[in-house]
Amino acid sequence: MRVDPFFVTNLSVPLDQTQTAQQQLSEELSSGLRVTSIGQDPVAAAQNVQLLNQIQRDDSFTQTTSLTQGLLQVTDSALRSVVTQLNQAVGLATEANNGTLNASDLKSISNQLAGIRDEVLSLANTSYQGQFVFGGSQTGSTPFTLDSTTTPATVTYNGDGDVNTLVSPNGQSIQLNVPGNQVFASSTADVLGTLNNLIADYATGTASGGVADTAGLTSALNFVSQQRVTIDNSITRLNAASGVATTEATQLTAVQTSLMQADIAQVSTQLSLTQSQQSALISVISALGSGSLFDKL
Amino acid sequence: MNGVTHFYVGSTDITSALASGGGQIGGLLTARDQTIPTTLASLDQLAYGIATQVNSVNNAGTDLDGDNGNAGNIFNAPAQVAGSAQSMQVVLTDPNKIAAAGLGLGTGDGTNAVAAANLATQAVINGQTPSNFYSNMVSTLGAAVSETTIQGTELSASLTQLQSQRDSLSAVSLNEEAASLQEFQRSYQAASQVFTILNSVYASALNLGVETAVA
Repeated sequence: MRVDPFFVTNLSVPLDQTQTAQQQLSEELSSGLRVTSIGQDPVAAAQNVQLLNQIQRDDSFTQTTSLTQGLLQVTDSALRSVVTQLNQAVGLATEANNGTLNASDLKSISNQLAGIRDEVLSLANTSYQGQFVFGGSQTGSTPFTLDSTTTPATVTYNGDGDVNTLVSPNGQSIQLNVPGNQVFASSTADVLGTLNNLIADYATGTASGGVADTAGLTSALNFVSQQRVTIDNSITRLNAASGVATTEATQLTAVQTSLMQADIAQVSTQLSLTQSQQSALISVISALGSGSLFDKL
Repeated sequence: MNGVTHFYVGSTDITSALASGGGQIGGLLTARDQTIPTTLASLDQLAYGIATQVNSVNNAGTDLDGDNGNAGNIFNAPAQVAGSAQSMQVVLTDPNKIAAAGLGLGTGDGTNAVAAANLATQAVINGQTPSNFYSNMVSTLGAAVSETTIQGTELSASLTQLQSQRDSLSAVSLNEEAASLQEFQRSYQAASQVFTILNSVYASALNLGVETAVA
């Protein structure tokens, strides 16, 4: 056996190592994280980046859905009221067309239909948080304007046919609006135009043309109901997508936790062992340092 | 040179020789001249890609003020890849200048906002999505740190082994010392015995055979 002449130097190296390990373990205990620097587990650190990214996207989508749900509900509510108004209008027109009403009654029905038209026009100009919901992309200006100077009166659409969509984190595209020209002024189902025609029909005190226009109004009513289904579907899909995003975020957070979380019991045991090793090393260094050749003189 | 310190012996630049020579200074120079610049270059690529792509999308739509295709930049436009990360900052001060609508469409449209959001899933940074690029960069840097740490541990263990080997040859061997001590003791005893014999011979000579006269 040969005596190591550099025993103090050689003992200081493991002492440094135990101290580093002790610091590392203490850090893991205080933070609760297994990976406190990317060098400890590069793969876990990279996975954590991807997980954080996906969780943030899910959270952003969930926040957006809570904003857009209000928009869709206002749109749905407006369309529901339009359907109600149009049902009343069809009822009035049917009554006017049965041939039993005199000119004065027909004029009265014309006035009632004008009231319904104004109400429908008001609903077509519904806004949500200052933005008109039926203007297509032109949400900053009133979508529909009425010109009563002509007979029949005319309604002008100032918006466009733009359809907005919201894309979910999984790539699902959800329709957020139905443009006003599609709902209220399309060539096949012109709600406002047909109402104006009926008003003009009965304003003269005769029901001529009323039957054909009533059929047109019924067709328009059905079309509006279909458009409402589109919005209802969007609300359902948005709620479902929001639920999926929330669940996914929760699951990903759980995965992230299991990936990064420190095993407290294991770390505590390791820390205890490291402290024992450190104490033993310090004792050895102390014992070796206490002896000197000069003591033997 | 280039903002970094170089080492000279006379007029000869020995920086690279020092870096490849190992040791603490070699490690520091390698980190300074190779590892850190590589990571910085990756960060610059990421920052450059994000800034140019986001600016490009923002200038391809219509903002709330009705600007068509000239809403302006969201990030300051980097002139080159190098230094992009350091200089990257948001220069947009008016939120109305975010071009969410498609080109020529009304302010209620969100086509361009969707296009901007889609950048997150498009291969816009060196053929990778920004998220994958950053993730790979973290992985690469982490692997470099891990590898260096392992190498350091291995070299430390190797050093300890070499020191042990050296000590096995050159350090004080208790067996050898004990053997030598015994040998020297025997030699001393033998030498003492010679003196005893010589003393006895001289005594015999002086006493002319009478052994008891001089002891």
